[in-house]
Amino acid sequence: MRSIDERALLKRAQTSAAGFGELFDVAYDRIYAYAYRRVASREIAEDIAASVFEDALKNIRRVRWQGKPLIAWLYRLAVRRVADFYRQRQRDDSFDDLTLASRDNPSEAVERADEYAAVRRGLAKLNPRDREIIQLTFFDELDGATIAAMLGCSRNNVYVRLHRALEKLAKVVSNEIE
Amino acid sequence: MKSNKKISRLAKTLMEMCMHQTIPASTRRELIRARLLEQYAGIRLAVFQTRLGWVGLAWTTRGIIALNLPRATRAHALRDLQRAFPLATVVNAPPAIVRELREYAQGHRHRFDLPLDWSSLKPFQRAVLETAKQIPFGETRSYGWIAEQIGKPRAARAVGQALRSNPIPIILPCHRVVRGDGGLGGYAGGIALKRKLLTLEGAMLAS
Repeated sequence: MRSIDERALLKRAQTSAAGFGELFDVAYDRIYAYAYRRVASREIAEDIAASVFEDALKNIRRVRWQGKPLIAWLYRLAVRRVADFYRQRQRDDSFDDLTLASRDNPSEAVERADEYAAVRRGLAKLNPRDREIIQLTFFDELDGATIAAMLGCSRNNVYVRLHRALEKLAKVVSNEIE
Repeated sequence: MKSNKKISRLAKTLMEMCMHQTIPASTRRELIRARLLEQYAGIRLAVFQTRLGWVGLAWTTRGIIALNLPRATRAHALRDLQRAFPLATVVNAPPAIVRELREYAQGHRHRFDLPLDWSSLKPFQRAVLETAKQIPFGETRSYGWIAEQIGKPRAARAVGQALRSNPIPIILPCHRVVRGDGGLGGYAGGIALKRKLLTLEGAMLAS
């Protein structure tokens, strides 16, 4: 989504159902994947993605173009919906029967499996803020501008935070390996 | 290994891990898309007065999608409705719907014959609300009774939640579901309104 197109896309999404459909088409898979990586269940990730677009539909007329990636706005809505899911799950015992699928991925290259597992365990040990910035960069594959718009900070700040998080992760991982 | 080297090796590993991750395809993508677009284009809104207050109504070509509980003024009812459906168009309410709800509010109507749009409900909530719909005018049942009827006897709490977020109250009579010990339980529109509806139906004595 290039920024010049995005401005026009926002306008179309604000004024017609077809335009909103276009926004859905460019963004749904990414929002769904974002949710899936955090809840590890197809069905729950779909519910979250659906509610993100419902939220988007409710609010789209109020969005003003500020030159920031449109997808960052949708990711922000997704952050909230994922957090809601975890909050509700903690509070509500009717979710007890939900078994979250394992995050382990059987298709990983076997020879590197140990290293991947060590990195994954390391990620689990980081604080949520550090983990999130690494996930956003490497797994959601978002660029600095999008992450900055999402987190409400500068691009520089994103790089600083990412570097620090990587340093911490490297330390945790090497402690584990040594 | 120097710190920067360690970090670039780690970054490389993370990139490889990303390449190997598999995300199952979303099977409900098209359904979700269709619902959203319909929501965008197809919803009509109306508010109208009944003896219970100003009722807000939202419907699609399939039927009623939401009913907002009675409010004291037209402006309040409209504001509630537009907050939930900011893109929908406000029109006059279909006469059949107005007639049935007014008759109910006067205590003359015991059941509704209006088409409902269930498409926004998940299967569990739909099962709960369809069961609640079977409770006759003037009677009540417990949360546990609903849980049993839908074959999930231990889900009374989840039943309570599903009822609380009932999008079409009154027509789907979640107010007829009360606690097993005789207490009124909760109600999205407040206990006073629940009591009022049950009194109107004769399921409770006027206090």
